[in-house]
Amino acid sequence: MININNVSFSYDKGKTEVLKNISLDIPEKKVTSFIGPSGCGKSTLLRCINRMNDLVETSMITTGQIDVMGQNINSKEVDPIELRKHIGMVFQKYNPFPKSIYDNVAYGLRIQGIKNKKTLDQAVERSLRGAALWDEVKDRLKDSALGLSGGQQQRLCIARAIAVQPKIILMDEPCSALDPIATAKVEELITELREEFTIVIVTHSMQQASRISDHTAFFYLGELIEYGQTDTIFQNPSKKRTEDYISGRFG
Amino acid sequence: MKDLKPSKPFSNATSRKFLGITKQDFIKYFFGGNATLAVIIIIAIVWFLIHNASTFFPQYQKKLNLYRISGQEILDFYAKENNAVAELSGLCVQAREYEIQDRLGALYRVIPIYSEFKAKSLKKIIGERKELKRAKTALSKIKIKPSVTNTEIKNAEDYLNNCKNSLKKAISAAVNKLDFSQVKNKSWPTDKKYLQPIRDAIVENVTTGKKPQFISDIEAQEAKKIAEIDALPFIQDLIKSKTAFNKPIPAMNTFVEELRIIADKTKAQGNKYNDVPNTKASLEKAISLAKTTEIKQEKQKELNRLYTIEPDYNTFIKPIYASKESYKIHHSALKEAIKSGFSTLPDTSKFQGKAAKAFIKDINDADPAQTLAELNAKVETWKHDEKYSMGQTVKGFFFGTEWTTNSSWQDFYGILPLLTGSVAVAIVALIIAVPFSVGGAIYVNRLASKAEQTFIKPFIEFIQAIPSIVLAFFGYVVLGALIQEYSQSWMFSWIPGFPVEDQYTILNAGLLLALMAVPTIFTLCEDALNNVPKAYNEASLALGATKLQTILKVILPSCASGVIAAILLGFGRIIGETMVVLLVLGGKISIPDSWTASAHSMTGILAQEIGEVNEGSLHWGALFMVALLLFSIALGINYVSQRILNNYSK
Ligand SMILES: Nc1ncnc2c1ncn2[C@@H]1O[C@H](COP(=O)(O)OP(=O)(O)OP(=O)(O)O)[C@@H](O)[C@H]1O
Ligand SMILES: [Mg+2]
Repeated sequence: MININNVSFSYDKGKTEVLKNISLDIPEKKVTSFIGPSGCGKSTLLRCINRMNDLVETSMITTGQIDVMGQNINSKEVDPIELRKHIGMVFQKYNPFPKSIYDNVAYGLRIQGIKNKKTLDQAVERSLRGAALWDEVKDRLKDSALGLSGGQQQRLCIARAIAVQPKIILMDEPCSALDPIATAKVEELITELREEFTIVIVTHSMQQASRISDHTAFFYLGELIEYGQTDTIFQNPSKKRTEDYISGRFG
Repeated sequence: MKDLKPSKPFSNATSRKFLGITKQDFIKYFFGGNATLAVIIIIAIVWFLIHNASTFFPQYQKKLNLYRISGQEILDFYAKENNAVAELSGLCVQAREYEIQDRLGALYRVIPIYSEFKAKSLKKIIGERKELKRAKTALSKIKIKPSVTNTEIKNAEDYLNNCKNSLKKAISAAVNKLDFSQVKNKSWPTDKKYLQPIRDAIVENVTTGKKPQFISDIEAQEAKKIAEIDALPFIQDLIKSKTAFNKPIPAMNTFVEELRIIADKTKAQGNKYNDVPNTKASLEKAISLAKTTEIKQEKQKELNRLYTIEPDYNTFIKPIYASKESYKIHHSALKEAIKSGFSTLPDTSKFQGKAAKAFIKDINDADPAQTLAELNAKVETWKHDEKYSMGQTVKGFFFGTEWTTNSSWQDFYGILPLLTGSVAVAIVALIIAVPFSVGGAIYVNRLASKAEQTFIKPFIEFIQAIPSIVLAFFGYVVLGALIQEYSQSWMFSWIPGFPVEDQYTILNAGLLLALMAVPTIFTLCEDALNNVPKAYNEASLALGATKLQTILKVILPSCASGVIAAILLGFGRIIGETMVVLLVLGGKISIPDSWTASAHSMTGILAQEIGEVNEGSLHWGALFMVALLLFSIALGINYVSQRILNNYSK
C-alpha cells in the first residue's frame, strides 16, 4: 500500500538530514506503528506520506521515493490536495474546528463540493458510528464541537477523517492527550477501523503498539532500526537497540 | 545574610523605606496613580462636554418659540410654497439650456475651447510678449525724444517688427501643438473641423489683438441655431411652462418680504427681552467692578434703560394673521401656475439631451401640488402662541435636516446633514478599505512568503504615520481633480453618481479616509488571524482542502469576531477624523444624495465653527451637542468592539 524506498529527508534544504535512507513497505488494511525515542523522526516520516511537510517551505526529500497505491507521490503530476483526500490524518492534539459537530464531520465532504443534505446526513452518521461516537452525540449534532470532552473530540477528529472515506489514516500519537479510559476507547476504535482502512500510527506507548498493531517499525536518530511483525519485534527483536528501547532501558 | 534574623527569614527588613513607603509600594502607587489620573481625565472630559451642551436644548426651545411667536415660522411656510413652484421654473430653464447644449454639440464648445487653448498658448509665449511690449515702449520713447535721427527710429521699428515676427512664429508653434485631447473636460464633444480654425483664431487674436472673425462667425452660428431650437414647438411649450410656473412668483415674493420686516422687528424685540437677565447680570457686575463713579453712573443709566416689559406679541402678530387672506389668493395663484405649467410641459421623449431629459424627469417627479397642500394645512392650523415642547426641540436637533447658523432670519440646528455626511464618508471609506485591509491581512498572514511579509507589513503600518493634513492636502490639490477628470470618461458612466461634478466629494474624502483606516484594520485583522490556532490550518489541509478553502471556511469564520471588531475600530478611526473631511468633503451642509456629492461632517463643523462662536451662546451649545454625540458614537463603537473581542477570546 505504502512503499517507502530509501528515503532521506531534510527540513533545511539538505543541510541536515532528519531521516536517513528509510525503506519500508506498509501493507494494506493493517495497523502499523512507528515507535522510537523523541525526535527520531516518526512524525516527519508520517507527514511525508500525505505531504504535509510541504507546509515547511525549506523541506525536501533528498533521496528515495514514496509510492502510495503504486504512484510516486512526489512526482510532478501529483496534486497534494488530491493525495490528502485519500489519506486522512489524526493529530496528537485533537483539533476540531470551532464549528458544530455536524459541520466538523461534513467539512471534508463539503469542500469536495458535496451539498446534498441527505448524502451529508448519511455520511455524518456513518462516520460518527464508525468513530464510536454516534450514541454520545446524536442529540447534539448542532452543538459546538469544542464542548465535547477530550476523548470525544479526538474521536470526532477520527470521524472527520474517515468521513471522506480515505484509504489510509495516519495517526500521530492520537492518545497522548487522553486519559486511560478515553485511550482504551480510541484503541478499540482503531482495531475496528483496521477492517476498512490502512492505518499508520505513531505512539510512545509500547503497550499500545503491541496491543493494536500488526507491524511495528522502530526508529532511532532518523534511521529505521528494525521493522517487522509486532510480535517478533516485541518478543524477539533482532537488534540490541530495539530490545533496550522496548524494555525501557533508554528513551 | 548575617543581618537576617533567623526566625524571620522572609521579612523585607533589607528593603529601604522612604516616608514609610517601600519600593514595591511606590511602584504600585505610581502606576495606580496613572490609571486613576486617566479615569479622572475621561470623567472630566465627559463632564465638560455635558456641562457645555446642557444649556443647548432649553435655549434652542426658547429660540424656536420666538421663531413661532414672531410669525417667522408661518412666513417660512409661505416662502416654501413659493420656492416649490419657483424650482420648477428653474428646472425648465435648465432643461432648455442643456437641450441647446446637446443639439449644438461641438459647436457649443468651440468658444470655451478657444478660450482654454488661448490661455494655454499665452503661457508658452510669455517671453515673446514681454519683448514685444518692451520694443513698443522703446519705440514710443524714441519718437518723443527731441533730437532723434531717422536711423534710430528705423532701428527701433525694425526691432519691433522682429519682435512681432518672432511672436507670430512662437504662437503659431504653440497652437500647432494643441489638439482636442488636451481639453480639460473630457466629456465635451469636439469636431476635428474646428481645430485648425481655432488655432488660426488664436494666432489672429494674439497678433492683432482683435476679436477673430471666426469667433464672431461661431457666435452668429450659435445664435442662429439657438433661435431655430427655440422655435421648435416643444421648446416653445417648455418656455410657456416656464413662464407659467414663474408667473405668480415675484408677487408672492414681495408679499412675503414685506411681512418679513414685521416678523423681524418682533423677533428683535423678543430677543432683547429674552436677553434682559443676561444683560442685567453683566451690567451689575460691571457696576460693582467699575473704577470711577462716572463709569458707574453710565452703566446705571444703561441698566435703568433696559426694556423689561415683555413685547406684546399678540398685537404684533395681528398683521401676519391678517395676511392669511392675501395668502389665500397667492396660494391659489400658485396652484393655478402649477396646473397651467404642467399642461404645456413637453414629453421627455421630445428631448435629445440626456441631461435635459433628466431635468424634465425631475419636474415630473416633483409633486408641488402635494407640497403646497401640506404647507397649506400647516398654515391653516398654525398658532403663534403654541409652544414648542421639549420633545419637539430634541427631535428638531436629532432629526432636523437644516443646519443654518449666523442667519439674519433664524438659525436651525438639525444634525442630520452632518451625521449623514459623516456616516456616508465612513461607509464609503470602509467599503474601499475593508477588501484591501482584510485581503491584505489574509495575504500577509497566510499566503505571503517571509520576504514579502517583512516588506509589506512595515509598509502598510507606515501609512499610519502620515499626518492627516498631508493626506488632506493631497486630496485637496491632486486627488479631487484627478477623480473629476477621469470620471468624465465614458468607461465609468455606468457607475451611479458618475461623472463626478465636484472636486471635493464624499468619494474623494472616502478614498483618503480608507487609506487612513487600512493600517488600523489591517493590523487588528492580522492579529486576529494570528490568533487562529495553527492546528485548524493543518487539520483542514490534511482533509484535502485548498489554501483558499481553508482560509474562507475555517480561518476566517474562526476569527470573524476579530475581523468585525477590526472593521468597527476602523470605522471609529474614520468617523473621528477631522482634517480630511474639513478640507476635502466640500463643506456643503445638506443630506448627501449621492456618494459623489459634496457634504459636511460633524468633526468638520466643529473644527470650522467652534472658533467663531461666543461662549455660552446657542451655537456654542449646539456644537457641544455635536461633540457629545461624536463622543458617544466613538464610545459606543469601542464598547461594542471590545464586547465582540471578549466574546471571541472566551
Ligand atoms: N517543522 C520543522 N522544521 C525543522 N525541523 C523540524 C521540524 N519538525 C521537526 N523537526 C526536527 O526534525 C527532527 C524529527 O522530528 P519529529 O517531529 O519527526 O520527531 P518525532 O519522532 O515525531 O518526535 P516526538 O516523539 O517527540 O514527536 C527533530 O530533530 C525536530 O527538531
Ligand atoms: Mg512526533
